Amino acid sequence: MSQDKIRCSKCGNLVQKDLMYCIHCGSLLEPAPISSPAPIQSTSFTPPPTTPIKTKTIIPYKTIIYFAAVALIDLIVSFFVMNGFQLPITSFGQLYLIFFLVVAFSLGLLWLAGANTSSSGGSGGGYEGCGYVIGAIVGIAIGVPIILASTFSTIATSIGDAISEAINNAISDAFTEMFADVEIPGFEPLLFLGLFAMLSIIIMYRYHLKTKKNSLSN
Amino acid sequence: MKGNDCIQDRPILCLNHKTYNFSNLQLATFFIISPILCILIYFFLSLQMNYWIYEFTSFFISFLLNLLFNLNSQVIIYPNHDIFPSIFIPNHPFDGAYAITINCIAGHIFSFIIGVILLVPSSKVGSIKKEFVWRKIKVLAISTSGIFLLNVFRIIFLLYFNFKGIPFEIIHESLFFLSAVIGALFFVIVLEHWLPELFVSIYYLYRLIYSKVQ
Repeated sequence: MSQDKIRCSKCGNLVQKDLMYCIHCGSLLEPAPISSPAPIQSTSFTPPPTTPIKTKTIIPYKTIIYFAAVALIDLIVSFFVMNGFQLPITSFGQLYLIFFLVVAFSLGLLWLAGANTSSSGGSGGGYEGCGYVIGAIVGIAIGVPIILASTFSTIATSIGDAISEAINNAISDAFTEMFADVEIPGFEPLLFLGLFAMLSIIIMYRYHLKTKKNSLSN
Repeated sequence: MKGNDCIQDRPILCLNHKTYNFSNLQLATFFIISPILCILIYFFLSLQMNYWIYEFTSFFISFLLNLLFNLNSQVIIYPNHDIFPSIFIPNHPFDGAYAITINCIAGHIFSFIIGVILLVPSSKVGSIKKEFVWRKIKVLAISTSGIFLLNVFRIIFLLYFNFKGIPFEIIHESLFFLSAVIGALFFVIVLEHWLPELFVSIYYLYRLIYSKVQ
């Protein structure tokens, strides 16, 4: 056995010494003692007993409160609209953008508040994270469509019409047994997918912070 | 040891006491084929052979409408199965007939959910295939049934409020916003709890590209 290999304490397989995790079972490798390494018995190895890690269930109060607030605002706006209030917009596309704008900035503020209360060191990481999140969400969900729409509005309209016509023709040609009026998904799924994408960005940013923390602690 | 050498060259993520490592083939399959699969599932749901889904949803909505609000609603089924089934509510202030189309049964959302979940890659390190498949089945069952119920109750309240005199466009969009928010949050929570590989694989791709660029 070469000196640059150590044995995993969980599965007992030999792995490279400089690795952080076992390539066979994925468990965290413990660093070998610096002075006089003990000989490893390759035939009768019994892994040490491991204690199960208790994971604490964290209730996302902030997220629940946030979405409750969104639902409440939705109901209030619906009430005003039902009683004759006219929104100063012409299309649902604009309403969609405004919705994302409100969601993005509210999320950013929530993130900022959470970072300020949780970080005792005051390193300013929360502000940075807030900036990243707002920048990413605003940039992806609002900035890009606005720039594209304002720059290429006429071209985009003609391309969109051509694509939808081509899809309709392809559907009617390919599936004669299908319903005559197959609906192409329009505005409705975009809201679901947009929210899903936005929440995914937040979750991935959380993963990013966790891996950063893990690498710093190791 | 060739495979293990390949794994060593790639980043290994450690999140929530688990390690994750994906191959290029897995990532390519997920990010390229899953959108195509979603579109194919959407077309499949539009086929005439799936008329029973529209029929079942319409009867379920009608049953709950009569049970909860006593509206005496009826389902109109076309024998040739060439027109979507409709729900008819008598003594309605407006029209009273509602066609249940593919967007009404949230066909696009189901296509997205099924297409994405089916192709989520499993980690190459520290993942048991059987347990991963079981988690996938669990997430599929919970998310599709949850979204189905959410959508059914959206339509029930939509029809009831429309019956009570609120214009269709207003109540439709308002309830849609609410249900889309609840649905997206529900789906994300279910995924993060039982199938975090979906988000981890996207983050893994970012890390892979980042490491290659550096």
